[in-house]
Amino acid sequence: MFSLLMQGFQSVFTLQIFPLLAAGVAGGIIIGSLPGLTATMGVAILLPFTFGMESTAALSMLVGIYVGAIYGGSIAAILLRTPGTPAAAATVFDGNALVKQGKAGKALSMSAIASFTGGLISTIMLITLSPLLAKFALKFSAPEYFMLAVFGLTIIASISGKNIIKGFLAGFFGLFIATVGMDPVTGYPRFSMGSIQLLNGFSIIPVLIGLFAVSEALVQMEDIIRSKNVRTVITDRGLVSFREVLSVLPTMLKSAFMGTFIGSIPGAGADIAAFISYNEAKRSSRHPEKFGTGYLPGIAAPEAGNNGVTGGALVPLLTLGVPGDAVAAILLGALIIQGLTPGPMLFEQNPDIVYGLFSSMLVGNVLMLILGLSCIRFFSKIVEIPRKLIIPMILVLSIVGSFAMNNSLFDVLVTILFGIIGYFMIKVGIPQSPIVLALILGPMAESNLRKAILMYEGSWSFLYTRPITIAFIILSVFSLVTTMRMKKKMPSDTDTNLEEEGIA
Amino acid sequence: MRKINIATGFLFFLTGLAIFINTFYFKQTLISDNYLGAAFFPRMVSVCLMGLSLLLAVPAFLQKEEREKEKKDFRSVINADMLRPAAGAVMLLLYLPVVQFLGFSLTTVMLFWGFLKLAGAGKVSYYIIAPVFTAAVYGVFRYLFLVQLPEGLIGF
Repeated sequence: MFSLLMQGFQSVFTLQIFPLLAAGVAGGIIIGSLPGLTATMGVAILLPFTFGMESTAALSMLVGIYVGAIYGGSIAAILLRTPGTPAAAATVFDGNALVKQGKAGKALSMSAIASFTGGLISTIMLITLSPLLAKFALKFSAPEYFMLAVFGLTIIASISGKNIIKGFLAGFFGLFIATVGMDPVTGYPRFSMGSIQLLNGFSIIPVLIGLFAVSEALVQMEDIIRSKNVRTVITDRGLVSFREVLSVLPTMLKSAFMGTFIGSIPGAGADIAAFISYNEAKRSSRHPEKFGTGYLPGIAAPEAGNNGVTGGALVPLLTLGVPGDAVAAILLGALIIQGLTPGPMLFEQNPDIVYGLFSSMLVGNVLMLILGLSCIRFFSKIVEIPRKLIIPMILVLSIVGSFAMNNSLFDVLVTILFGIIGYFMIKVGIPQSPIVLALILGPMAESNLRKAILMYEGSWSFLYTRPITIAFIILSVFSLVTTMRMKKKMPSDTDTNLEEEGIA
Repeated sequence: MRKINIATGFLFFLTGLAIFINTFYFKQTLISDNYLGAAFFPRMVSVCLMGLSLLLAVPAFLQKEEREKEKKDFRSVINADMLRPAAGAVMLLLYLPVVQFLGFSLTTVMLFWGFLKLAGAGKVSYYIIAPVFTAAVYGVFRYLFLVQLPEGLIGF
C-alpha cells in the first residue's frame, strides 16, 4: 500500500496534475464562498472540462474542487453570516460571533485548520479503513436511516437557545416544508397549490439563503435606522495560536472521525455531519454556555466534521460503487466517463488511479490549508465594507445565488419569502437553523419511516428489535436529556443574546 | 414575551390545523394508503406542531407579567422601525416581475440604489459601486459559471 501511495504522490507532483489540483482547490474555495454555489454545483459545472483529461488528472481536479468548496462555504458563513454551502450553516453560530468581536482572522484560521484536520484524517481513514467502514454502512437499511434522521433532529434542542419549544416549533415547521411537493412513495402532489415549481418541493439553497442572508440584511436595515453602531471593526487579524489549536485538537479529532463515519453512510452528507459534530462538541463540552458566543470549538467541530465527510463519502463509492453524497455521485459519473467501474475490482485493476486519487486528496488538503491561511487578510477585508454598502451586496449575491441553482426566478421568490419569514422569526425569538436541519433530514426521515413500517408489515417493532436502531434511540434520548439539563444550568442572558442575534 | 408567545403559538396552531385539515383532501392511490399514504407524515407533523403551539401559548396565557414590561417587550418586536425593512421586502418582491422585462443588470442596479437610499447612504461613491459590483457579479456568473441570468428586453 505504501509503495502505491508513493507512486500516487509521484503522479500528483507532475506538471500535468499539480496545477490542475491547485486550480481545483482555489476554484473550490471561491465557489464555496459564494452563497448559492455548492460543492456539488462546482464539481458538476467543471465535470465537462475533464472529459478530455487523463483519469488521475481529471479526478484530482474534481477532488480539489470538492475539498476547497466544503472549506470555502465557511468563509461566507463566518464573515457574512451567509453559509456558502449548507454544510457551513453550523459554522455561522460561533464563526460570525467571533467576527462581531473583531476577530475575523482567528475565526477564519480556526476554520482552515479544522477543515484541514478533518480532511486529512478522513483521507487517512479512507486509505486505511475503507473496506471496514463500508461493511458497517452496508448494515444500514430503512429503520437505521430513519433513526439516524431522528438522532439528527434531536440536535434542534441544542441549537434552540433557552426556549426549546420554539426551536422544535421551527423544526416541525421545517418538516412540514420538507413534505411540500410530490410524495416520494405515491407520487401524490402535496401542498403544491397547483404550482408546477412546487412539485419538486423547496430546494434547500434558496430557503437557506432566505433564512440566513436576506433576513439578516432586513434586520441590519432596522439596526441602521436605530443608529446602532453595527459596523464590524477588525481589531485583531491575528491567527489562532498554537496553544488554542492544541486546546481544540480533541474536538477536531472527534469531529473528523464522526464526519468520516457519517460521510461513509450513503445519503448522509457534510451538512448533517457538521450539525451532529457541533451538537456533540457542545454536549460534551465543559463550557456549553460559551457555544454561540464565538467559542473556538464551535468553529472547529462543524468544520472538522464537514470536511471529514470528503474522505468518508468516497469510501462506499470506491469500495461498493455506491456514492456517499451528491458530489460522490458526480465523481461516480466522472469515473464511468473515464471508462472505470467503481467497486472492489477498482482496487485490483486500477490501483494507480485509486492511489493517485488518495494522494491528490492528501495534497489537496495541504493546499487548502496554505491557501486558506494565506488569504485570511484578503477575506477579512470583506467585513470592513460599510454596512450600508454590504446590505445591497448581500442581497444581490443572495438573488443570484438562489437563481443560479436551477436558473429559476421561482427560487428567487422562495428566497425572498423565506427572508421575510426569517426576519419575523428573529423578531419573535424563534431560531431559523431548525428549519434548515429539518428540511435536510425531513425527506430522509419520512421515506425511511414509511419503508421501515412497510418492511415490518405495519408494525413499529423495528424500533426495539434492531441493535443499531436501539443504539440510535439511546443516543437520541441521551442527547435530548443532556441538552435540556445543560439548558437549565445555562445563565439566561446567554440565550437571550443568542435569540436576539437570531442564531440560536 | 408573553403576548408574543401567545400570538406565535396561535399562529403555529393555525398552521398545524390547516395542514391537518388539508391532509384529509389527499387522494389515496395505493392499498396501503389508509395508513402509510401521502397524508401519513404531514398529519403526524401537524399534530406535533399543534401540540407544541399549545405548549408555548397556554403557559404564556396563564403567566402574569407586569404591564410595563409587557408593553416594552411588545414594542421591541412591533414598532415603527419595521417600516424600512418592510419597504425593502416590497422592493425585493417587485424585483421579480421587473427583472423579467428589464433584465438582470439594470434591475439589479436599481435594486442596489433603492437599498442604498433606504439605508440612508449619502456617499456618491456607493452609488458608483452599484453598477460596478453588478457588472462583476454578472461577469462571474454569466461567463465563468455559465449561468444564464435573466436578459429581459435589453439583453443583459
